[in-house]
Amino acid sequence: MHTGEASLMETQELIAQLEQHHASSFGWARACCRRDAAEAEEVLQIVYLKVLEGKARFKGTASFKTWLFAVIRRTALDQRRKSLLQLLTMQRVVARRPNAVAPERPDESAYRAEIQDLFRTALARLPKRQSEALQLVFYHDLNIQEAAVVMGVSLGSARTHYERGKKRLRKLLEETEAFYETDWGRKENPATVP
Amino acid sequence: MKLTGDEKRIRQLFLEMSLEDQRRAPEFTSVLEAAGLKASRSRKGTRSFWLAAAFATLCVAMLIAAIIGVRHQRLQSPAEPEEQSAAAPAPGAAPLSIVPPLAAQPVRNTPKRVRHRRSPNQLALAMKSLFAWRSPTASLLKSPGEDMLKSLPRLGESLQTIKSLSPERFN
Repeated sequence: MHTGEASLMETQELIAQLEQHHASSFGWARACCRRDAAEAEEVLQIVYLKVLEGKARFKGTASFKTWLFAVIRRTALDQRRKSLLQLLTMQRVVARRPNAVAPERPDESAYRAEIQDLFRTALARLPKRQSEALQLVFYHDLNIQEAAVVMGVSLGSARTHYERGKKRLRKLLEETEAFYETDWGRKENPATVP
Repeated sequence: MKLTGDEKRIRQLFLEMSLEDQRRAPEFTSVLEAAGLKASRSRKGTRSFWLAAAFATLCVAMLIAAIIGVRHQRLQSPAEPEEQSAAAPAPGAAPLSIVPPLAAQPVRNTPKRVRHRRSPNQLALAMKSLFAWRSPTASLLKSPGEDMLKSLPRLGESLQTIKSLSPERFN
């Protein structure tokens, strides 16, 4: 009876923790699923199941968020592997890919949306590890050590991915015309008068 | 962590991305419910899979048992006439049988067919004994006037025959 109560408490605690990190988990799941929202939601469902059924156990060696992100990353990889094995899933994956059809917006928001699209495109062009390192640090506010735990690599390796990713992202963004118009582009362009 | 200018800009871009993600993020409860549904569905699927597997295994086991039974029956059925012929006492002079008597054969528990290969001498001996064999009831087939029936009548013999068969002779 005591163990039953304890497990109930544990489950409730786990649900509370999952709820607390739900938004960032979804963001990370999207990052792991090439920004595919539907696939990310499916991955999250599987992750929540794993956590609540005890298939993935939090042992307290890292923070809950770090551990959860590592589980999400592994699950997303597994899911992708499974979906690649299915014959017809290829078509579904293509259909699910976020298309560039954006809803009508006012000028300002349209401009921001365009910037975001370009940014996402540039991010997608980065090697996976570099993109992961940048997302974990800049999006999810993890330090490089925590990012290394999530990515399952050494600290030095994570740092290298992070630095290279930053450089490459900057280069990619500079290449796009839209960013050329922004402060970023102007600063780098020698022809521009400050 | 102290951020440089570039890093601040990157962070700003990521922040906008995170805002968009937050807008698009599904409700936690709906994800949890969907997860629960998925779990129950997978449990049902697993249960039905195991039931199907158990049924299939049972069917295969029954099929194997049936095949073994039929084969066993087929192996036993040709032996029965031999047993009967061996059990029945031979009337008169028993022939030299090709097949050795069942009692002389070793008792076989397993229904294996053993092929006996005979040498040509043994076979010739067996054939000879077969031809030499006479039925014990063959004498019953003989009749008194059998010679007359088997031979052709000749000229001058008919009268004698009549005489020999006349009732006076018997009296």
